[in-house]
Amino acid sequence: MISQQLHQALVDCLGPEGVVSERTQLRTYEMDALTGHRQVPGVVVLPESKEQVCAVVRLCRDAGVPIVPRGAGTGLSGGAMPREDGVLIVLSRMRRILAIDPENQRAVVEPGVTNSAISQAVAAHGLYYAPDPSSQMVCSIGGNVAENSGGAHCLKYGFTTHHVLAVEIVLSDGEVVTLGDSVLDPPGYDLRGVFIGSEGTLGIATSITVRLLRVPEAVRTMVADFDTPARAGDAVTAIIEAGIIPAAVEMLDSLAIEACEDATGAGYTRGIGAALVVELDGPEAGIDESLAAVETLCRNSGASKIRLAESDHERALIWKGRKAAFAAMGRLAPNYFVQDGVIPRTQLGRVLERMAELASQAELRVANVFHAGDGNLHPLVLYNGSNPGESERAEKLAADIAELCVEYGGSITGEHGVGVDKACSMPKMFSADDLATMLEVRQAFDPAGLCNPDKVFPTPRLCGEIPGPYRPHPLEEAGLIERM
Amino acid sequence: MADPTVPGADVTRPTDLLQARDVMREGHERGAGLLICGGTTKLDWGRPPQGVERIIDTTGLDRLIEHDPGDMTAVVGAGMPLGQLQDRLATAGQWLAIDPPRNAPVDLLRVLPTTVSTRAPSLPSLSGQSSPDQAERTATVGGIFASNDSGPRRLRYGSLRELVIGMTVVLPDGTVARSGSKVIKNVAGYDLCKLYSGSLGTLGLVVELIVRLHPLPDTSRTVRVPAASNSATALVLALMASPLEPTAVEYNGDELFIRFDGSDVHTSEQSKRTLDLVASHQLDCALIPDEQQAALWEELGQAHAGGDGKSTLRIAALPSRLHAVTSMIRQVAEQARVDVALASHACLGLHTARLAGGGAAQHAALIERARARMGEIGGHVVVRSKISGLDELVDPFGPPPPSLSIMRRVKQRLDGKSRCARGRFIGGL
Ligand SMILES: Cc1cc2nc3c(=O)[nH]c(=O)nc-3n(C[C@H](O)[C@H](O)[C@H](O)COP(=O)(O)OP(=O)(O)OC[C@H]3O[C@@H](n4cnc5c(N)ncnc54)[C@H](O)[C@@H]3O)c2cc1C
Ligand SMILES: Cc1cc2nc3c(=O)[nH]c(=O)nc-3n(C[C@H](O)[C@H](O)[C@H](O)COP(=O)(O)OP(=O)(O)OC[C@H]3O[C@@H](n4cnc5c(N)ncnc54)[C@H](O)[C@@H]3O)c2cc1C
Repeated sequence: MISQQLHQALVDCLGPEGVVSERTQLRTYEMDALTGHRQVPGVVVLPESKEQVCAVVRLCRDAGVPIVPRGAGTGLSGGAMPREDGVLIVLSRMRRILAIDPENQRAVVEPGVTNSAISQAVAAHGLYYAPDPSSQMVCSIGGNVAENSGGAHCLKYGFTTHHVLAVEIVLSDGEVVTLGDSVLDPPGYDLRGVFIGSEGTLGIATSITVRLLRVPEAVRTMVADFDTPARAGDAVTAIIEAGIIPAAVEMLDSLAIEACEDATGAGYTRGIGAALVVELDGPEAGIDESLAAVETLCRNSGASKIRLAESDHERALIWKGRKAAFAAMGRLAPNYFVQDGVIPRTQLGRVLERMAELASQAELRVANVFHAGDGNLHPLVLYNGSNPGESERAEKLAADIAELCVEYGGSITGEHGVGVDKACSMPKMFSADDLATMLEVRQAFDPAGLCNPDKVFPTPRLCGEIPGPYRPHPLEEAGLIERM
Repeated sequence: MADPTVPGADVTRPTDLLQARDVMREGHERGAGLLICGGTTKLDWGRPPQGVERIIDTTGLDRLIEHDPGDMTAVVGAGMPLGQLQDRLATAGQWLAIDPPRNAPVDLLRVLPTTVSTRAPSLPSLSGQSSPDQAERTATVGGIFASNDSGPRRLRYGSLRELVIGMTVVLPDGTVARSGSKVIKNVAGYDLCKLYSGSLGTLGLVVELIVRLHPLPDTSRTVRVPAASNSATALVLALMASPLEPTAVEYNGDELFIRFDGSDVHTSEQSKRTLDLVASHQLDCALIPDEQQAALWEELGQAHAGGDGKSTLRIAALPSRLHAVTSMIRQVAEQARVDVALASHACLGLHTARLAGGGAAQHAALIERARARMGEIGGHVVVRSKISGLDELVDPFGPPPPSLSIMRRVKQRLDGKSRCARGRFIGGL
């Protein structure tokens, strides 16, 4: 609950149209795209400028009230889940493009601008913003910065952190600072790099300077059919070892193909073990040679059929099929949990086997779509929430799968973030000291602990009194000390 | 562990994580000052550290702990010399895609004027330990990371900051902390690797790095274009606006060098199209003969190296300001009567100015003027290597950024007793 006094101060500062406090309206903000975690916020504010963000943050600071930033609410880890006793700061009204410098290939935008809107705004200059989460039509650049979002084309071009040069932020004490610069290597610690991916726990981004890329001259897209995902994985390793860096390499397993075909009729072959989508881009010169090399490498790894997109239309259809994967799951089951674990590429075969074992033990089905180039899996755990106990079993299986990835040297999350969803799995990946060190950094940005509390780090509130067992201390792992 | 040959100064060379932890936390209670050094090639960057009681030599942490050619990742001890690492990776046709210049090792006497010892410690000759002779030291992976130095091919691959995906550090109180993982894509927890890249050893000891690798390219081709700085600038912008994908673009004030790496078809097609583009700018150009390329890139890279009795400045501006930076440097050099050689990573907007001749006062005057001019050009000037006397006259970092308050709190949180290279960093951190 928010005090009457704070509520009035917020209204004075933003006007009645900038403050949402009516119960039914508040409910539209109770969750992000992770639908299992809900909380009606104390109050929602819709600032239109940096000054308004600052003013709101100062009021919250003075009242000792937590703040939760929110962009478009497409997050898949509950990062924007509100607090009942907090203020949800929604940045979607701050959607101005502040500057475009086509010569130097940079743009400055407000945090509520959608990912696609940046590319649209600079398209006339032959430029675009490279990281492309599947949610790009809707998600905000502020959310992308907070999550260090990726996308299908990040294999060649990198993630959000590689494309954001500077971020202006409002700290939880109301101070405004810019991290990074539009020129490279500003002196001092790279706080920009620390802020990106901090999931709204270090401050609120109010303006973002992005790097733009030249739209590639040529694009080639193909789909290769394989018996098993492991074989498709071998092909990926062979391609990358050959020095070819495709723009994107995506994989769908048989269950995912089934769902995507039902939903879009994109032309994937039903009944095969795995489909590999490989996209090359770059200068026209040499691209067909690279394509031929990729084809050969796929065949050498056992591809049974290879289809080249003959037209832009066909290419768009292939991507429509791939990007519809999450939505298409509705055809296989009423509900699903999406996981986001990452594994070393070469472990793909073994991890998928273990995953299948876990799934059959839990008596649930798991479909897989993934960013195969960088080993980022998106297992979709299918379930029917109306069957008693099934959603709990599914949630447990999803967490087991994330932790399986850590066992194979990977990560619990490649792009969706930790949020509330995976906070309790963090001890599997990090020791108590690792997390304590991160918390020291959090304190440096947000000493009062008001900025998006209860996210990312395991707390008794989220995970019970004992969040561990933690990953062993590195000295234990190395056999140099024993558990004390 | 005190070095018997150096009264008052401890030099320790840990060889594993346990020793590294113990060495770091020893003397923590009383806040004993530390200086971490690897190849010692960058020890004069930043301000001279104060109150150094112990030198931690990282060259014992020099193992290639893991190399996974299939996943193209490696786990490397921070004290491993880069050259050694590259040799090992090359056997699998891979490399850590960085090409920073080689600097000569720095004389410790110059860096440690305020050490408790009356004589400066020398790094070799540790009793019973085989520390490399100082003159033979070369840059370590950890040192390059901690100084975030980079070379021409940063244009394509990014700097080491972009290639480090995980790390283990020891904080001054002995806390061992990891961040990142062995996979390229990972957003679990804060990316503390970013914090340590460029931190100049002021936040703790980096013990291990996990790095992303690349395949060694089959071929390289380079186009040379003689061009005055205004036409070079126009060409650089045209190149950026074109579909070409150069791996490096260097400018030395007279000539532009455009490099492509990759398959034979790729580099030959790209260089051909570059020749066309250059011709459309009414400039001459030529393809560098294959056998001359290695030496040429060695020279272009080394044009950014520090040391050798010169002061070195790193200037950053937008790529479109190439001409502006070039003319500004010429003017301030003339005014200060100092010889300046400028080398530019043109598409990155990063420039190295090497100042030769003249004394510290003249170098300081030049730096002041250059900083004043950067106001209108946009960007900054950081001093790297310095001739003696310059430390007393200029702040190597220039005016502190607005985020200094957070940087101070970060330093306070991770090195509360200010033990690690006290005073070296920006704002005296
Ligand atoms: C169908 C679908 C497909 C998706 N595909 C991908 C994909 O391919 N790749 C990928 O990486 N993600 C994907 N996502 C996840 C999601 O779209 C991204 O995480 C996105 O970046 C979230 O942006 P948002 O604006 O919706 O942020 P929100 O969901 O509103 O917020 C996300 C987090 O960012 C914080 N935040 C938001 N704005 C700010 C700000 N201005 N300052 C500070 N913190 C802020 C919030 O507190 C929260 O912690 C997908 C989601 C869906 C629903
Ligand atoms: C192919 C190739 C070969 C090269 N060969 C050479 C060469 O032969 N000789 C050469 O001099 N350079 C070489 N270089 C590299 C380089 O340009 C720099 O010299 C390098 O950046 C500095 O590293 P260093 O180990 O000398 O660091 P130092 O000068 O010892 O340290 C630099 C800074 O980092 C800190 N630091 C060092 N190690 C750590 C650590 N583990 N944890 C925390 N902080 C730390 C120090 O306190 C200091 O502030 C080469 C580069 C390439 C691409």
